[in-house]
Amino acid sequence: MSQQIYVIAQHDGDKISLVTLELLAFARQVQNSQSFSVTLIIVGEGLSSLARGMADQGISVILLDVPGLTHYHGGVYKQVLSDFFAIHEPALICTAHTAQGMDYSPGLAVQLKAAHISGVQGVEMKDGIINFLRAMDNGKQMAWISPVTDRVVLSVRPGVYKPLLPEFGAMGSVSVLHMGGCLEPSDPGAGDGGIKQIKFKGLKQSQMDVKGLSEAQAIIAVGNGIGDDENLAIIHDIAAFFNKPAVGGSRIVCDRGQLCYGQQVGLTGSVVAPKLYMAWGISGAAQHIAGMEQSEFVVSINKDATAPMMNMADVCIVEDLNQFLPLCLASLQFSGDEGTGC
Amino acid sequence: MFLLKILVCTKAINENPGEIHLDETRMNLFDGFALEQGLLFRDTLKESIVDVICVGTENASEILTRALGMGADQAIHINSEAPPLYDPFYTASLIAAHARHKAYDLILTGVMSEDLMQGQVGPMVAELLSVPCATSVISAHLSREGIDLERELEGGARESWEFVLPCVLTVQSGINTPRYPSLSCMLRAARNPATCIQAETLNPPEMRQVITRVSVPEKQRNALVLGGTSEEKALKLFKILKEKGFLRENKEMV
Repeated sequence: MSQQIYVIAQHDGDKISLVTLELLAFARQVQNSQSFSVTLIIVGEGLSSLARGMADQGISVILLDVPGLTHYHGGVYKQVLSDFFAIHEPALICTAHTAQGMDYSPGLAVQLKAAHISGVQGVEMKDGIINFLRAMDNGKQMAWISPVTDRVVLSVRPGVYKPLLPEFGAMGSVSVLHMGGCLEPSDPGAGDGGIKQIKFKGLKQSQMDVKGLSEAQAIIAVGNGIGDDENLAIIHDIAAFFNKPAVGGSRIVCDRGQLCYGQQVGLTGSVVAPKLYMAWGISGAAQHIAGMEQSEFVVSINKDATAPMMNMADVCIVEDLNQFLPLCLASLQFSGDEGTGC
Repeated sequence: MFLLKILVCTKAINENPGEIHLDETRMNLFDGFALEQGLLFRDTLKESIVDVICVGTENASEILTRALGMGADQAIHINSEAPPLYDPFYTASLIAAHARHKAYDLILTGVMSEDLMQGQVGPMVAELLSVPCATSVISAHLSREGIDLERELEGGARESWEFVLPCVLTVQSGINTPRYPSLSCMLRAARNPATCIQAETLNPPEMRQVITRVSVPEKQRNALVLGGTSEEKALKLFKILKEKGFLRENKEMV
């Protein structure tokens, strides 16, 4: 059986994403318990300086050089990686649980006849069996999952592992493999699954103002439990009592149009770390938790005492927001009046 | 392009996981956006067909009735008494087995399920059928050659792509506003319910992964749970927040 752990780098052509260093830290943890070796794979065109930079940090790197691949392309990633793994038997392949990783990772697993476990946030060996941890039931429970196959593809959740520290002076290496032909035009119906016919047209950076959230000291955040716009108006009134406040929320509130997407906290929104994070009616799906778990002090207010956000909180209050919000505002206004001697 | 043959893959979600006495089933939120997108394409290309499919226990038939009520043409229920909870490859294989010879131009599903959040079934169906896949699609328009779409990345950034048909798209929430079921469609659904196919007849695959243990998440912090009346909780809360210096000084407020 293979003893190789392969980490697939996420990069933007100019630099390796932070999440790649987290994946390497995860891989090192598995390596230590299994005496496996860890190799980083970088896919793209003309990335030898990126590869060299990682090798200088003590990492063994394989660069899959694909002419013409200047931007992520799911079909090409799946093809070059499965070509590579047809020759280099993997035990474990680690991808990032990000918009990019989750685009190619499950398909790659199908091609490799491998198990695919997504959103991994822990690993353990028990009675000779390797188990991977992930959230289920919207974060209310955690499941240990064990692959039945020899090969396993994992997508590892960002923000769980501390990025691997560079080991300067350690022996790294770069090998380059030239993977030609993936993007050359072919006949329609050539049996390549149409990957050459799909085309990347461009990248739009976010138009939203996420500054408000990233610079706030106190984020007053609302979730599905917030209810109607009247309650949201009270939230804005309450936020005004805080130092450097910003109002944010979970994706569903943005989907409903109650907040704009620039105010979304979570894996697909902004990742924030304010001094205070107040979660009003936010159940705490893993997607959202990943965007706020670095906050210094967390308050969770929810009518459901079992909401996963309660596990993240320093202060928990079980209350129905419809009744509790007006009380909170009144309480703040009262203490304000008292303070000025009115 | 005069018509599209569309398949929408849906999942039944238990509203109160862990609370057995409450057996409320509803359609996965993200799949609602996928179904609406299929119906919007049919609104543009009138002769198009929108089929909807669900792998699951008999609870699945409830959400398929809703899908028909929203306007789907045909519903397919792949009945699996005990679908392996953690094996998306199992679900994907059954959907692919059904879709393989049906010549669908477009397969749509939600970006993930709300409960397990694995996000794997869509990309796996694409791979099993050897067609391209785009995940986390937040905008999709029919073009002369296929579909122009945008994928949502972290922090709200978007990638634009030109896709050809056939393909699989997994749809992110917020791409549209799912319609409510209509009375006429509900009546039609009652006359023309979901077709049920037994999973065993589709040659289900071997399991690739199993759950070995389930646990309750560990508390990340030592939480102080505030008690008392609602008024007392509010007063205690803001006393703590004031002591920590999170609140503005009073004079700034008035």
